[in-house]
Amino acid sequence: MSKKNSELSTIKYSVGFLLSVLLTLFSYLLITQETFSGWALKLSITGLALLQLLTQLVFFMHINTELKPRWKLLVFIYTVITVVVLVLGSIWIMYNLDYNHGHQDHIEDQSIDEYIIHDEGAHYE
Amino acid sequence: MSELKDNSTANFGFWIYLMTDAVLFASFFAVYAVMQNNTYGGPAGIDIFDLKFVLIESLILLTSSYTCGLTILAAKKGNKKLSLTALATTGLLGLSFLGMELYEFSHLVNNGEGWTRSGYLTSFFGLVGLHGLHIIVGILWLVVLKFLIIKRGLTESTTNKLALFSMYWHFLDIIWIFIFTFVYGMGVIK
Repeated sequence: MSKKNSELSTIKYSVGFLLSVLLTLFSYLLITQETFSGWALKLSITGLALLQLLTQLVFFMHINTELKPRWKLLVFIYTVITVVVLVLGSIWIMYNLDYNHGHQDHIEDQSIDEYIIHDEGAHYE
Repeated sequence: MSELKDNSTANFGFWIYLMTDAVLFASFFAVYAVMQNNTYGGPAGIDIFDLKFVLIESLILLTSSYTCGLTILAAKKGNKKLSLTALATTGLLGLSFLGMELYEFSHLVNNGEGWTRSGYLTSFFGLVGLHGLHIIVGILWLVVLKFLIIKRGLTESTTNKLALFSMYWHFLDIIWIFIFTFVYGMGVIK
């Protein structure tokens, strides 16, 4: 490996490391300083996590330096699709199950009938 | 037994393994997400997570990922001494991470907040424990690699083994990003 190449690589790793540290710290500070709340905060840290994923993939795993055909990238994209379906699908299905079986907290004070009438807008003609 | 002409097949195969490991972790994440409210009268995330402690853990693991990268760079330059030093640093940082994690776990268990307390805690220990188990395996692999390089030096074979290890180690750091964000991070947000 030529000297210049290795210097560039060291810089690449160092930049990736620094970016990752900053993204981690930023996420931590957003949470502890309570800058936003609720959904805005959750969305922000999710975004930061995805940014850091991208940073580590590029700077540490060199996913972009693969020559064509880009098999590693293809397999990675397929994995992402699988993961998204698995995680979001599970959450959606189990939420739906919870709802239909009346095990959610907010129905404790009403009967299930009252809750469903209220929530789904069912009414007698 | 014939030698591979180059290591590209082995490296691609290992990459595919990492992708299947990602799907495995995803299933544990899915369970954790579903079990969020199954606290059974026990503690929720906000009751047991110390974000500052976790931040330090995260920075340690991140640094170990960096020194792992430096190990590979040194190995590619044929610098045996430097690569072994960087590798040892990676291992020590990994052990520090593990020590902190075991401290956190034992503290929870001693408080009666272990994996048998509730479905939520089972899923927490399952997910974070799975990651910790991967770290342990990684450290064992690292130790073996260290002896291998000391004995045989930086050949094309041993250098490639280092490359595979570094892929594995970076992967674990990536998984930790998601644990840090979606387990601990989300856990302390009201």
